[in-house]
Amino acid sequence: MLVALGLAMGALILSGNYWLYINPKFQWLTATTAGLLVLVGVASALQPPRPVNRSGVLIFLAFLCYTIWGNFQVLAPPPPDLLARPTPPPPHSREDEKARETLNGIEYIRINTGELFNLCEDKGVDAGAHYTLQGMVVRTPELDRAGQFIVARLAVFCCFADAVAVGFRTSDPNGRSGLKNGEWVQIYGRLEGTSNELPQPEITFEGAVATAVHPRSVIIPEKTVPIAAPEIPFIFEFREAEPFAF
Amino acid sequence: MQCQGGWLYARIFIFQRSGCSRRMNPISNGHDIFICILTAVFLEAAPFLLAAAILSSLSEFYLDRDRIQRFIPRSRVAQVLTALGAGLILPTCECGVVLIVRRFLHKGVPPLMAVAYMLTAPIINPLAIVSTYLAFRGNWWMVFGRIGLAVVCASLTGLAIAALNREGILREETPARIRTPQAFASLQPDPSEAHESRLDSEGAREHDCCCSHGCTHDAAAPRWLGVLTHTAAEFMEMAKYLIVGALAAALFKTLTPQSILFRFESNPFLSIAVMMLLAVLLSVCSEADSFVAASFWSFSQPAQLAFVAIGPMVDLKLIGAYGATFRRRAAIMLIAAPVIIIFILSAVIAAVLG
Repeated sequence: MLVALGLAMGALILSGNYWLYINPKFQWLTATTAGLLVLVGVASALQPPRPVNRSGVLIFLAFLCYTIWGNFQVLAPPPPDLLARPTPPPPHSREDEKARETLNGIEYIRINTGELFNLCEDKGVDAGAHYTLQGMVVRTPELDRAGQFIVARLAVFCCFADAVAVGFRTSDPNGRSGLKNGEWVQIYGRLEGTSNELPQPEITFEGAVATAVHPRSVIIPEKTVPIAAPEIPFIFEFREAEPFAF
Repeated sequence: MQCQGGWLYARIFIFQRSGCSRRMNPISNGHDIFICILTAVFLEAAPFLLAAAILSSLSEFYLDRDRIQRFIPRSRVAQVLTALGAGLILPTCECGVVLIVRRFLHKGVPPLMAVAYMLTAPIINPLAIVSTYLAFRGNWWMVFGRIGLAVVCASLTGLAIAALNREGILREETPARIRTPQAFASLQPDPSEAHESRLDSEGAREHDCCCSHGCTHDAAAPRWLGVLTHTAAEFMEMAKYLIVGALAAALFKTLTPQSILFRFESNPFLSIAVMMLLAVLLSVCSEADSFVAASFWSFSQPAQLAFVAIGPMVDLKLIGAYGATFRRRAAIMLIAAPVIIIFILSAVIAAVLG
């Protein structure tokens, strides 16, 4: 069973879907564990038979079968019409990454919502600074009344179990943008501070432990471009300086 | 397998509640979330559990009781300090620490030391300290607050358990006595061997092993093979508690709406209790729980502190492991004492901070 577990872990890494469960920076750790489990399992099989811990074996077997089956369901290809959305090319290496984008003569710093959140917490809200960030649009009746939506992404520090949604309020008077819930956008905008701490909006994301919307800032969008959901939508990296992980 | 990010993302992420429970996306699926969390928790914990099983097996085969006894100080204060020192230099997380502590107890480490090490090691190890510092954006108050709470709580719990469980804290175990005919060929006991081997009346090599899983070390087999076999048995034994804990944590995360939590954020004492309950039920790794706590920015710092202090001492994965490893009274104390102590200390901090 340990050999089967090791092989399943190895297969998950090779499948390219590892990021769905664990931050890819821990891939080496899982690969090492998989290798050791195979080794330990084989060594164990070479030894004479010994009393079996039946409850342990049953639980382990049930877990292995269920997760392998369940993950095949999760990773099963969708119906053709849902596959129609184009996916962007794989991410560039750090050297190739653009730190900024220029639009109408204005330079926008490319940043992800998690990095911008940290930046605002560490150095305060840099009112007037121009940023471009991507994320999913979240609308609620309360936000609509306030002329705002939230642009958010899921940040995974270690594994999916500790995922946190991080977002920013974005100004959208009278819903002029016409953006819908769940739509992915790239926003080019200006950061503005608020005089009072804004209440945490009542939004939750399935799978996220918490939702953190920055309480003292609002993004004033200057251009909003609908985009396809990124191939890997989670935030795994939080950089302190440019080029940010975007 | 080709990665279909948009599809996966839609299935696991886009599901929002706002006041009423409303699905944003018809293809969102609670079961997928559940399976992803279950797999993630197991994958995250497996390396640490395996590392602990290897460490435990190595100490079983290569570390004898006398050698360990030499490092055990007589005074209780020194015992606690030694345990804290061990926690600093021997980075372990809560997933595997019970295995290591069980082995140490078998080797004669006093319960006070063992409990102090078990409760603090996942918090005071360098990785956890760095992650706490990063998560709270360089807030040393949170870093030292977490360490302080852990040290006080572990010392008090260790003292209480050592005082009230004089007959020992480990569950009754039947030593696996192995008589291997093959061992006739190697009857000369090796004085450096950690295992206490001797000849029985039938002339077979008797082997008192302190495993609790009925392992059958072949005395004639190479020691490294014994380490691997022992590691397999240790891993299998503890993995079942990890699996049950991961199942419960995944179920909780899938079914409980976040919005419930925020109803308690304004009450300083209720928010502490709620954050502690959340830490126990979420069972997040001690290296990552600071980031989760920090994301609850609308909760008070004492509540966040209580979250990061209690999680590595009591969570769903640990409750099963405590029950399987320790006597009932000791296991109950290991769960109840940290909860009570951390709550009282956090409440005092909240009251002082106003």
